[in-house]
Amino acid sequence: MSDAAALPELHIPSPRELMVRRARGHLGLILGGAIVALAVLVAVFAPYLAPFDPYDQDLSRRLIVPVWGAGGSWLHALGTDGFGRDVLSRLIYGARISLEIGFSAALIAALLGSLLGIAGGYFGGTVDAVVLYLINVKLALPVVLVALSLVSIAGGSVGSLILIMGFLTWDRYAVVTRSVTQQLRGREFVLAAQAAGASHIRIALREILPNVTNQIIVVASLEIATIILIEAALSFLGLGVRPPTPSWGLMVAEGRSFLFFKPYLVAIPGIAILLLVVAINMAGDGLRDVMAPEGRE
Amino acid sequence: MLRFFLRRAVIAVLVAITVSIIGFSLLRLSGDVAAVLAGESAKPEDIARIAQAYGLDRPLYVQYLDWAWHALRGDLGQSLFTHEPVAGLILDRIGVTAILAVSSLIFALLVAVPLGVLAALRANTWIDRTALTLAVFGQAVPMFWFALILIFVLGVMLRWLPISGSATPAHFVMPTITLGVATMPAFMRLTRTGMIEVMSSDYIRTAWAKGLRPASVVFKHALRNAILPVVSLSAVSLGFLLGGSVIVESIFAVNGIGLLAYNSITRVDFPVVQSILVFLSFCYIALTLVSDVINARLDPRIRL
Repeated sequence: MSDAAALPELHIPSPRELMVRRARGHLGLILGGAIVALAVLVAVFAPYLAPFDPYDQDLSRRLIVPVWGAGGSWLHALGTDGFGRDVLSRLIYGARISLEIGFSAALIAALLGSLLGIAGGYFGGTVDAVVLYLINVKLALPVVLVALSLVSIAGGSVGSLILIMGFLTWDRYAVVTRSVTQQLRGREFVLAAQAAGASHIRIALREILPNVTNQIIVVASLEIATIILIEAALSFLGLGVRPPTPSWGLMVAEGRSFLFFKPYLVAIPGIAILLLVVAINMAGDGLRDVMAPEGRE
Repeated sequence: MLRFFLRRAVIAVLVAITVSIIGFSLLRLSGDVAAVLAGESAKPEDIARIAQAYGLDRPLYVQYLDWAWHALRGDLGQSLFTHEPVAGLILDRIGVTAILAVSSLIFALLVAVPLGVLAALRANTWIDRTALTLAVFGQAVPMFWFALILIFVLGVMLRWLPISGSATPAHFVMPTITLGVATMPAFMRLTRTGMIEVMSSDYIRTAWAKGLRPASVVFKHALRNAILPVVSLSAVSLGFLLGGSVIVESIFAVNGIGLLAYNSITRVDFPVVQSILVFLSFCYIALTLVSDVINARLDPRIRL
């Protein structure tokens, strides 16, 4: 212990500092995060970035090829679709749909799942049995099929898609927060709060929640990617966002009839989905390594 | 073992009952079935008469019990669209979907397990990184888009494969690849992590020390233990594949229950949709139960 006096500059990094240090060296997190941030900026500033109105049809300018094709020009850098709408502008506005649904639905799912998971893990016993049972029921439902049926019933507004996806993707938050809460339940700071007479709600919010936030964020970052993929699939099948909304999945569906002659109409929105989802997954994996390294596979 | 099985079975039955209630009420509460049956130009009296004829004017729980009682005896009602018995519609198509699900699972395992083993043995080399990158893309590529790319390349440009239908084995190749690619990443990662863990364990060190051949150490001693979680994931994935076939079947016009479900949803054919929903859930529940039991047999620690 006398060594400590001899090394006055010895600095024990706080968990937060360690996290920042891990984040700085994490290529996947930086690259993925940068792409996601870019997509968010594009979505937010869509009206300023899009060269054309994404809904504006001009039948005299149908199926213009992208700039790299023969006869393409920078006026319509990614070409136009079968209605003469500018593909780049639709792509830019489409980022809004994907991200809006992805983030909002993940928020609903995170609230719902964490509430159930923390309750089950904290109280144990009957409450936990009910939570486990609900998780099992949720897992048994075929997500795509239920989502398709519900959209066909509720209609394909962005709002109803957010609600439906939120209620279909809460299970992983519940599983993760439940197991973390079980470990926290017997820890000194929770017992101390109980001894001090804190209410269950206060303990859940002040003692448990701050300690599961990292895990919730990690799960959310990966679930957003799943939700974006499902939304795209639903819209592609014609049971998601309604035309003429520029959803990327819908753009693939609309380009499908031109697959043979104008494959770029299918390729471009598909690549956009792929890129965004890869970036979100990279950022999510990175967040896990940085924020909850014990949860690594 | 028996107690373990019984406990799991009771939970499975409870979950199954709940799912059937959800499936039933979801689609019943959603709209007026009698109005759909009566057609668009029907008068309120007609709708009321149809509701009475089909028993739709009874309380919902009576309707559920009635439906469940009939369902248990194999009578799932009639399609509102074709007026055929729903059970027959499903039975006619389940084979196609099952073949697709099983072939996708086999395809995924055949690629994922060797790749995962290789990645684990060469951890942190370019082989490992390539495998992980493939997994990242497999997880992120939209299934419906990948299917269209396959159609464009293999079907239209190269003309190797038929692009639509389910008449010959060749028709199943592209749907199998599409579904397989989507399931592969999880298997690959699981095999890789399992192998890395097992390869650093004491008994593998002993096996090396005994001077066993590398192939024997890797395949006979290590893989057998590392593969356990993959086996249980396989059962669960099969459930996912049965449900995930909605997208793939509708793109490739594979005449299975996925396509039937999709068509029935667009035709607002409630009896078919709810039966498929409940049927797929039951498959999933049964497969998870089987996977739990297999796991408990293979790994006695779980039974405790």
